[in-house]
Amino acid sequence: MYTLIFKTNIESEQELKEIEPLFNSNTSFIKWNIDTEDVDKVLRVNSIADNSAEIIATLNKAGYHCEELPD
Amino acid sequence: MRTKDENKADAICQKAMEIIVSKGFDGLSMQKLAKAANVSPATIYIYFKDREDLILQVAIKAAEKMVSATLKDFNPEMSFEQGLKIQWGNRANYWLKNPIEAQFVEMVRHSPNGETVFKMVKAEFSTVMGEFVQRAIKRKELIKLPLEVYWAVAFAPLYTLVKFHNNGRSIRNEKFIWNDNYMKQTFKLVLKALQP
Repeated sequence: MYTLIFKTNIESEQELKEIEPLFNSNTSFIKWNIDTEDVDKVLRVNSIADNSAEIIATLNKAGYHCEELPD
Repeated sequence: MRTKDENKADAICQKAMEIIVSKGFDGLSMQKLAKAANVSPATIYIYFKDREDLILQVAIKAAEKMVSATLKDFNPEMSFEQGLKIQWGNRANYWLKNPIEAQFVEMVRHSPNGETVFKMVKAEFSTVMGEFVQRAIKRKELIKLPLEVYWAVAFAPLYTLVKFHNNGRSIRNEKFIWNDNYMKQTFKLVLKALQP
């Protein structure tokens, strides 16, 4: 299992609701959450695949910022 | 590929407790914690899903450690004197060796998360301690008291000495350093008060 961690700009309930269907339909995700209280609005995904590029592309397409949070 | 490292996780937990004890729950952010534990915020998120999850997991781990330290070599079938003596020794030992962790567990106990944490961890503990007290009463080694009164007499004196030591000062601002003889002396008086 991969734990993928990103910095985003998703912070409101409204925005969360908007991206929920995008993520819930992804069959390789085991679970995901966004820590909206953190300054980096960290998106954390447990996935069976390393689909970082796909996640970034999905969020960018929806109009959000998303980049991998470096170690 | 991100991998888990138990030492890193331990360092993160330790620093989280230190920050919370000195700055309070609101003083903990993932950024501050990352800096203090010398890891990146991303690393913290490998282990914990968010700030709340982190506090909960650290609290459960610490509470489990406290419970197992308190129950070490203890058996509810012991005589009241022997059992209470072991309880005092274990509790003093734990508090003196892990002051930050112990203070952190106390803070959790009085926080909104407290109930969740202690429901998970303390069930066995309460059963064992309850059995010990019931047996002691039946054997006429302990007088029957409301739980709060029992606890206030049986353990609060010990924690007062521990608190003096952790503050480095006692009443009237006198310097205070832990001394086993103080504990023994206090224990004798407590025992006398609780025996029929």
